[in-house]
Amino acid sequence: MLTEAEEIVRQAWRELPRGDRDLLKAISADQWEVCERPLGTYTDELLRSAGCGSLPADEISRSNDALALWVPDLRVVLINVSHSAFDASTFDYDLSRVAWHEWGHALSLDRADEDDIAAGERYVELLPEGLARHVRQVGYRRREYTHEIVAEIYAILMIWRRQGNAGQPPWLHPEVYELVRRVAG
Amino acid sequence: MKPVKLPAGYRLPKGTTMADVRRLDQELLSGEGHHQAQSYDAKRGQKRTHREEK
Repeated sequence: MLTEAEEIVRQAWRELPRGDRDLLKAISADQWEVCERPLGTYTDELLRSAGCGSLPADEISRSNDALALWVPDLRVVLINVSHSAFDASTFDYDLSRVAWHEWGHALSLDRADEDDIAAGERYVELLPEGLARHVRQVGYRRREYTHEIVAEIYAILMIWRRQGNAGQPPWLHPEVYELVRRVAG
Repeated sequence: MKPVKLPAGYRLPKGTTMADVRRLDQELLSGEGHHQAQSYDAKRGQKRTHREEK
């Protein structure tokens, strides 16, 4: 499973626009690891072994639920391919989507400014209803909304691109599209 | 030592599966989500009108 997963993530990386890959390399966000472990516990071990300190206990628990994480202090995307949410029959789609989401996070965390972050709630209101519900129901903090929106839209735009499309999809509010373009590429 | 920067993760709401995520993607990418965006714009327009009336 790990070998297959590594190849899928490598392919997802190759599908990114060259400019986005260059941007991710420029911010040292071009490393990833697929693993079969709860990510909060694993990230905490990695952080401690790198001398970066420890995650708070509630953050370890929260991150253990994650399918994938961008870890800013280690500049790495971690993906737990043994997470029960991954479907074997759609593994390629699910894993590519999650990897794109995390690269969107890496770009957003480095490049979104304070005004973007402060406008998070407004950006949620501009999303199509289903996406807005998704962002609200996961339980992200208010200051995480903008990062979550950039990551989620970035992943969906990559699927849009994989399907042979380009530019702004008709369902995406222009302000959200501009946010993602400005922050992520 | 600087405080640890918190990781940013991909999690699903309780009771949501990747099948739900794929279904939502499909709705958006096939254009069904466009109607949601339009109805949101219409709602905003309505709210704006109410404020103007006050």
